[in-house]
Amino acid sequence: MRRGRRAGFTLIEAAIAIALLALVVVKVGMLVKMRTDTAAHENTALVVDDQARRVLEQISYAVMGASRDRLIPDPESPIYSSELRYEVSLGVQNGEVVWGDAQWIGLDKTADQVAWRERPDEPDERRVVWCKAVRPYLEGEQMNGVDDNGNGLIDEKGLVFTLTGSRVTVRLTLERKSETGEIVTRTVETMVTCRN
Amino acid sequence: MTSRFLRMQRARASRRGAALFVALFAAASVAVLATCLLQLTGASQKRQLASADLRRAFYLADAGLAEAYSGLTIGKTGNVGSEAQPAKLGRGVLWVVATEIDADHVQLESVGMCGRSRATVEMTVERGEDSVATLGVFAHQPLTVPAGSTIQGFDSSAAPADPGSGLLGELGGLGGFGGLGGGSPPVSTPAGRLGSNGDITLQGTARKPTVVDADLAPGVGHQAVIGAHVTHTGATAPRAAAAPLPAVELPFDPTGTGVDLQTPTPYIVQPGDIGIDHLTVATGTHAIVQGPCNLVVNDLTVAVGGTLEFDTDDGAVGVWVGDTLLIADGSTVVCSHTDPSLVTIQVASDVPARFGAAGKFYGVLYAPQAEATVGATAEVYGAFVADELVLTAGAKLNFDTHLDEVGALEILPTLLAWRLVELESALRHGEGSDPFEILGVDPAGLVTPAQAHADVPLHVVYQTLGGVTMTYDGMESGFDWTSVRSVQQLERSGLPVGYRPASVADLAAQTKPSQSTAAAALAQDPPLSSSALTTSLIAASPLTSSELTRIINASARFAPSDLKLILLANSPLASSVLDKTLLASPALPSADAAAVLIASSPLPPHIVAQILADALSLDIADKLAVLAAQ
Repeated sequence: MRRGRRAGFTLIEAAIAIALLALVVVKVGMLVKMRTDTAAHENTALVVDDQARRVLEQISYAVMGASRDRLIPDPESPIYSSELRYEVSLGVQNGEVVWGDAQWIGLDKTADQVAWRERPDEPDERRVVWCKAVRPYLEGEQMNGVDDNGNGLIDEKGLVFTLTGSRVTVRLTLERKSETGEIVTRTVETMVTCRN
Repeated sequence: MTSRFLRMQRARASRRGAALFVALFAAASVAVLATCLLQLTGASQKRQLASADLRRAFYLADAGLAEAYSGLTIGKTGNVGSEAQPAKLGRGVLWVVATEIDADHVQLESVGMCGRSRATVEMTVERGEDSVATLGVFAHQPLTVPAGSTIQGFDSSAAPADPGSGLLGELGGLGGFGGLGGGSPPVSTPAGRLGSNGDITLQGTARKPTVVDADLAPGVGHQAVIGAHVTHTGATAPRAAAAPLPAVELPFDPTGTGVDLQTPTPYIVQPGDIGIDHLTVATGTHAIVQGPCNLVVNDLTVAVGGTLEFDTDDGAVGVWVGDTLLIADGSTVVCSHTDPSLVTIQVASDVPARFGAAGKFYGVLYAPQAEATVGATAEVYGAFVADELVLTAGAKLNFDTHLDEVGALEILPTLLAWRLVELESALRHGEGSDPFEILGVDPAGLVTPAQAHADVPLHVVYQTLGGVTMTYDGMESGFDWTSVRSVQQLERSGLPVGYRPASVADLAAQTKPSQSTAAAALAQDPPLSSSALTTSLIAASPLTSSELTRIINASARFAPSDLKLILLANSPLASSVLDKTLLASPALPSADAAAVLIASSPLPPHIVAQILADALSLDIADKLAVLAAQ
């Protein structure tokens, strides 16, 4: 008689328990995945944002020491350029300003990376890639001969310089796929005054 | 049964350890995950903070440059603080090291530090030059103004655009109380400026009276002699120091062949840099120099009946004469604008020069080594400076006070080069989390950038608020700029400083307590006594017009003598404040009101009119004293 009262679950009880457990596990899994995806997206967005700002700062500090009269090409607004050749002052000698070697900032040949070059096109050229993942065109812009994003520029690339007086406006759009395959786009903009 | 029970007991015992292990594993996993998350967040925050600190350090360094530059504009060295004793600004520090590259150039290297970041920027400036045009009508040798001459002042920035209107020429010598405008409102004319490094003698006759509405500034130890039949208005105090007249250097050689005009067709000297041997404008011919133009010529001659025109529609004209300047009496000079800073004629040689053209010449003529003669029909509006100045009876010379403003700009140092030297976000050397720890300085002992300028030996000849001329020699930190009404001579570290009147306010602002002190003193509860309030307000001087008006409105709180002291400390008073002072005259005894009016002289015409009309409660003696000060 005692054997008939042994502790345990019937098959139905066990099946229900397992089903409920599976349901909970699946739900939790989905929740975790969703959270992980969101975190990955946010992380990518932060990385892209951080990178864009750092590159913009680097460009700003470089252009700041340039002379307005020595910018090539002269990207007088509304004409614009995706590259800038400039020289920075090294100081004054015998009453004359001494200028350093030519420097260049722009989209590299692959057009998706911002590069800085010293003595461009010379045999001893120095080249540093400042960032990758530059969008082919600035955010909101398409190759259609129209100013899609309303910034006064038509079909501008992902890195663009415009110049008004001695002020250079720099715009940069970076674009990257997050781990989940979503596209993350960040656009940053600043205005720099040439001090020389 | 027993053996089964024992097995179950052993199994239970073994499961106890497994549960603990699982719990520990779970806890450790959570801890590791949390630590990773914290590290990730911390690293991100650290990076953002470092980036923000770097930007702040850059801005601090830039602010240091601005402070050093402002110091240079008022003759300081440009050094602000030092690495051992930097200036404090916000959460960071800065210091600037000024290096004299040569006599004309100063290099300023400014370092800013915030957090563990450090930025260094460098700027090279060219020192400004004191404009000789601000000397007015000036001769290095003793100067005699013959009978029938007229010397006055005007302000070209307020003049009509049409040089042919003749309004300026018609303004009579009425001292600053306006000219006769044929029914139009009175036009205020500033005093002219007549100076010399020797004596100044004004001559006049009954038939040819001389009118000199100008401040006379004879040389050091020399005097101004004013003869009979001379109407003179203005000061006569001698200069505090001799005015140097730098030699003229030709900017380039006049290599081109000369031009002799023969036909009446106007000859145009094109804009640009032109260097020719000579330019001779013969009788009946006409030469036009079109700006922007730098014309260098050995001999410039304009014969009787010849016309020389300066067209400054598109830019200024500068003429350098290497040898002879002869603009004959009976010739004509035409200027397209009334701004004298647009036309300058400089004579480099010591060959006697003559300027006798009829018509109004709006420009600056400078011949530091030559004897220059001004013809009887000449009318010069601007400045005329020469080694020896010979005025012919009937000549009219008018100093443009606007040249003071132009000269003040020329004194300012010019930026030649700027560069970013260093940006370091995490300092490799030194320890500490902020610049104070890194540099080992106590933030409580640091001063603001404005107070951190290097102390320099100062020599200043100035007029006190009470109108007394004083001299100070010593370190600048020991000098009280708030007691200065005007500066006559200023030297820092033995070097003369181009002085601008506005600088006094700038300088005083660096040492005086904030003006809000005045409002706070008035509003203090319980109210301060008259003497305590006066001490506080004088310390906060110069006060703004609105603050002074407020004080006058509250005159019942002051003893009359205290109110007088406050007003004197802020003299010269603005017209609006003077009006209030007069309304408050019952609060001021006649003698005190007169002292305030004298300290603010010359008074605006409407106040003089009130004094003349006996509209004010001044005793007859005080009234005469006030009028004599005008």
